Amino acid sequence: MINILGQVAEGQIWQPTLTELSYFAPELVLVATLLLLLIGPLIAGRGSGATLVMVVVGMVAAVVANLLVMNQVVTGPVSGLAPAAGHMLLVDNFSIFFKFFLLLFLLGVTVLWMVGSAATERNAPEFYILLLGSMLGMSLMVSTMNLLLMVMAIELASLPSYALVAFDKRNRPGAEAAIKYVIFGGTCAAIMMYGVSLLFGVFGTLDFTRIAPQLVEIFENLAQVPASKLALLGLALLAMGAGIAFKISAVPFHFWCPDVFQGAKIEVTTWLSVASKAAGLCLLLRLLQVLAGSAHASGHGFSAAFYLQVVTGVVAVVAAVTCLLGNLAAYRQQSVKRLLAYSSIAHAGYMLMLGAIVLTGDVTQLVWQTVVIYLVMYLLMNLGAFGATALVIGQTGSDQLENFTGLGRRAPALAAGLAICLFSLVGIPPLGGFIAKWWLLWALGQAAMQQMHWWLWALLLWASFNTLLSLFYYLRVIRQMYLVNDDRPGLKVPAGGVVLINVCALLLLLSGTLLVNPIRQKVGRYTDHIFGQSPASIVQVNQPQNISGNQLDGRSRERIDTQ
Amino acid sequence: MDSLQQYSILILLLPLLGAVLAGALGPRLLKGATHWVVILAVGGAAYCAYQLFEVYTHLAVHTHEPVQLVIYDWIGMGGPTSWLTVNFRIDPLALVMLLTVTFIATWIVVYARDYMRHHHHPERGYERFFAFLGLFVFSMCALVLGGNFLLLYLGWEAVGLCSYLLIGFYYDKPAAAAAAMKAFLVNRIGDFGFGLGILLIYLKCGSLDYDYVLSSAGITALGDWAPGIALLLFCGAVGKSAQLPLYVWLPDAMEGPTPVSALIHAATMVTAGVYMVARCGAIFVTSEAVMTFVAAIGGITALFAATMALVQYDMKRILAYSTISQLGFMFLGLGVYAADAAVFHLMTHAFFKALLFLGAGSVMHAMGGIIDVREFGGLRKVLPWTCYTFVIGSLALAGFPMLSGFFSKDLILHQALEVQPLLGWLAVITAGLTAFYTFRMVLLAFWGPKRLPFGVHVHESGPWIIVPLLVLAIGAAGAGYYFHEKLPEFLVDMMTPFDVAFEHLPPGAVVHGLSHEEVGLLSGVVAIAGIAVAVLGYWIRPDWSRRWREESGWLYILVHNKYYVDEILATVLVRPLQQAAAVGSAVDRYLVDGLVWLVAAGPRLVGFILHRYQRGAMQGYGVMMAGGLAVIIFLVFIFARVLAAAN
Repeated sequence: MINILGQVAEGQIWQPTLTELSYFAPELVLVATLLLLLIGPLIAGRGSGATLVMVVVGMVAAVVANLLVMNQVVTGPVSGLAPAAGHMLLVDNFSIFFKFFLLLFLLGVTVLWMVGSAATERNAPEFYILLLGSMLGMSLMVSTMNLLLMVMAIELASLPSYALVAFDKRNRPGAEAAIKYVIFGGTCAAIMMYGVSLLFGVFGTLDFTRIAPQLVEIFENLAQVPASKLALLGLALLAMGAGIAFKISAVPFHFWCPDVFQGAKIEVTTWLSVASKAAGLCLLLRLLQVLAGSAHASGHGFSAAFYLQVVTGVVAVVAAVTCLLGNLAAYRQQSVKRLLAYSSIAHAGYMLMLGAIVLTGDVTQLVWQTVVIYLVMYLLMNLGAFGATALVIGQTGSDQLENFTGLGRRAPALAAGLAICLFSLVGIPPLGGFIAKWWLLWALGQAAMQQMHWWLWALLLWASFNTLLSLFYYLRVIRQMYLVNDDRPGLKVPAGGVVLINVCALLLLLSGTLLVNPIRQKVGRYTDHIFGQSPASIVQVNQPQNISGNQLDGRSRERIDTQ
Repeated sequence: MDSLQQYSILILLLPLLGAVLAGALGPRLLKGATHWVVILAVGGAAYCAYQLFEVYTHLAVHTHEPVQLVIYDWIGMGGPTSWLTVNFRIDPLALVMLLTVTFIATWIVVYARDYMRHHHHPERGYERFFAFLGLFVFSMCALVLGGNFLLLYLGWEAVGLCSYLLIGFYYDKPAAAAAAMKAFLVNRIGDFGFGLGILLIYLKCGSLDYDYVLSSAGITALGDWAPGIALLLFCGAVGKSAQLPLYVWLPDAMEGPTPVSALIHAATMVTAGVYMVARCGAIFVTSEAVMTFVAAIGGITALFAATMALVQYDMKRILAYSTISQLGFMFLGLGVYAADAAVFHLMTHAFFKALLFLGAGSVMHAMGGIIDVREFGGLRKVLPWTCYTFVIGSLALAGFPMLSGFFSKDLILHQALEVQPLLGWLAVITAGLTAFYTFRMVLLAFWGPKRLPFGVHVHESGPWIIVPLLVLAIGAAGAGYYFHEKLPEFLVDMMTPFDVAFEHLPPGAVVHGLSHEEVGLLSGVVAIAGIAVAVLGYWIRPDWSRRWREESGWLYILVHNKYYVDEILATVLVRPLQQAAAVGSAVDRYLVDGLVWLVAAGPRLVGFILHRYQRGAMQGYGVMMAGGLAVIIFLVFIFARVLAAAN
């Protein structure tokens, strides 16, 4: 105890100032909301209404906190736990975007929950505690470059998710899905931690911004490095990648995905399909970005760097296979939830393709912009599609395709919204999904022109080909809704749900037409100064003793790293 | 600048909103009140068009320079070309078109309120009709406002679609469905050339913006291709504006409801071709031959269609042939470098032809759907409002001195007699024929002894129909005099390429014959003579017209059967195409469908196999996961080997 106090006095343990703390206001607000949800029900009761009020208060506060932070922060790692451990958290425009993204999605899922199960839910506070808990984990996943915190963030995101899948205690498929999810998740977490510990063993630090340059050095002088060390490193990196691939549900770590999506309650499925994959993807992109930045800083070109090509190649192959497998397996599904699960695997594959090109020098900005656009569009499409499925399940009790028969007649507004979302998932112009695909293909094309690698062109063609493949199974649903007909009675769907789905559809429609340009301008704002993008920031992180405040990216930012 | 932007966006958004509301809420909520949404929307667009005009004229008091407004880029990431930019071009030509379209459309929508309510199919498709009308006004305004060829093309196709939907409005009537299909198909032929022309423009210029393409730099970039491109663009105009040889769809299009005939097939959509040629004047004037071709097509069509109008008995068909003929006049005007006269005629024609169609609609309304002038007569007493407004429209169409048609036709004739004397004299003859057939129709329908179809209870239409007729009658009477000096002045910027080319015509190409006054006198005399002959033959001595008909023999039969053009086309074009289509259909059914089935069969098979392996057994998943990881490790190894060898 005295020892710790002594360290505090000597400044060896980080003591945040108020300004530094304010950078974490969004996370702190989340934690506060969690505490409120724990304590609040003792006073206000456990009803859904009271819970909703608390959640909404928390969400509004989080939005405000986010806006405040956005106006202060430029970029960079803003805090460390202790000097020796390196930086723990980082805040840049992208992490702020991601928190907005999660909040927006939380809002959508909340509406879905209100429409679907709020009336019968008896454990509303717990549901939201778990949901917000996983949200906290996900937002941390995108705000760290420290492997220790990365592992913790992934676990923080995963553990509540396991519980959420099994949340409905009477639902046996849900319980089965949760068991699978836990076992796979646990296995992958173990593999990942093994990899991380190996990295710590080799480099003596868990700060990835310090590991990356050393990695670059090792790979640049491959001939002098003993083979055993190389094998160890490869294993470590792969093991770490496995943990992330699990979150993204990339092949071959995708097996949990359809079972869990089918078993879980639909609000939870929606949440996992977008938020958890997005967080994993952004974490991966961040790691790759720092690697690329280090290579650049070390004076070696991007494209020539040997290891970059190996890493890129692996990511590209995994992305291509994920894409194809998702699209093919979706063909025979009769359960729409499962069909959408495979669709989400395919989309994870498309997005993973960005991982393959983020290392290409001049397109990094474009890649991040594409990520932002793709994620937002993907959120809207999936919210709409899962939301419509939720309404059908709510009315007919099952998500089998045959329950969608004649929906165009039985619930025209619902069917129209769902059709737009599905067309958007295919990527048909002029919907938002098309814009997202267009950015993706554009980024791939730019990278291919930069690097002049045939396989990047092949990847581009592959993405287009897969889009074509995906058309058929989405059309199956639309066909069932509009072309197959029998005399089933009309559905009385709750108005709130129809509004939610049509708002998604409308936004998709607008973002493919009138809003294309405003969105592009907005996106630029969130992808300025991505951490690790400019070589300067990496160098400064690597030599903390030399940092002086005004050096950071040329834009004045007060010095917040206490050393 | 900002108010320009706001008004131009509103002009588009209001009709679109009206259409969407009418379509979405009409059937359930608004029902019989749907017309209000569209009347307000289109009227609001007309108001905005007027405001736009005001703002623009105050912005550029002396120079009527075009204003280019970029509304938004659709996808313009990187690269110098942003061909998906939505930009508007606001200049005198666009403003004249906008004002005409929105003004006329407003009154036609008002008219449609009563007409559609009581006509053939009471209350059926009422909401649908108004939704389509709103959509049409939106598309037409987009066509006119667009600042690049892409928007022009999109608007062009969109008005074509609306036209198709509205011709086939009574889709359970086989004739209407066939007419809609015919209009669509014939227009495809023209639009193919049109699209090809635009594609060539893009290939040669690398841009589709009027600002660039129509500037001297753009014309230089087009180089030798300019005349060819002009001809291709003109293909589109020939289809859309129903000129020889693609005019055949317009008479059949009269199967649509009468307000549609008035709005789309007389006043606005069919004039899109004229607008387009006037707009692209800079491309057309690069070649004298192309201009002569345009003038020849216009002049010949005008005469040809006028002869067919002589012997028809269906009022709407007479008016349809008359429309083709008048459009021919406009193209003649364009071809003789009198584009301002052509646009002026477009405007006056919009007034009087819309009036005539609405008047014919009012007759049809009163006669319970019968429109053949052999079935009724002497309606002057029972339908006074309709009759006298109809007469005003007819006088304007005939070119009676001081009415609107007189001024605009006069300008065209004057220039035509100078540049293409032969075509000019043909046009003078056509003007006489126009006066004759117009009054033949008037006299058959409204004068003579009163005859009514059996069992029809005649009644004059209500104010919803009469008021639009009166408003348009005032326009048809006064627009010519009011605008005959202002409009050419206003359009002076559009005229620049035409004027420059006119100045540079080789000596001897321009004949200085008749002066303005003499031409005015000539056309006035011709018009009055035509009317006089009609009065003689169909009112004073009805037996004379019968004698004319009998004595002309085979000529009458030939013209009455519309020169057998439809039959010739059926033998030469339609039947071979049908046979080819049968072959194509067989190929599609057996070969293409088979291939598609094969393409889809692959994924289905793989899906089936994958399905077998994903059945929920954890151990299986674990094995496959480990196997997958092993494959990845192997991949890394291979990659490293290959790349190390390569470096």
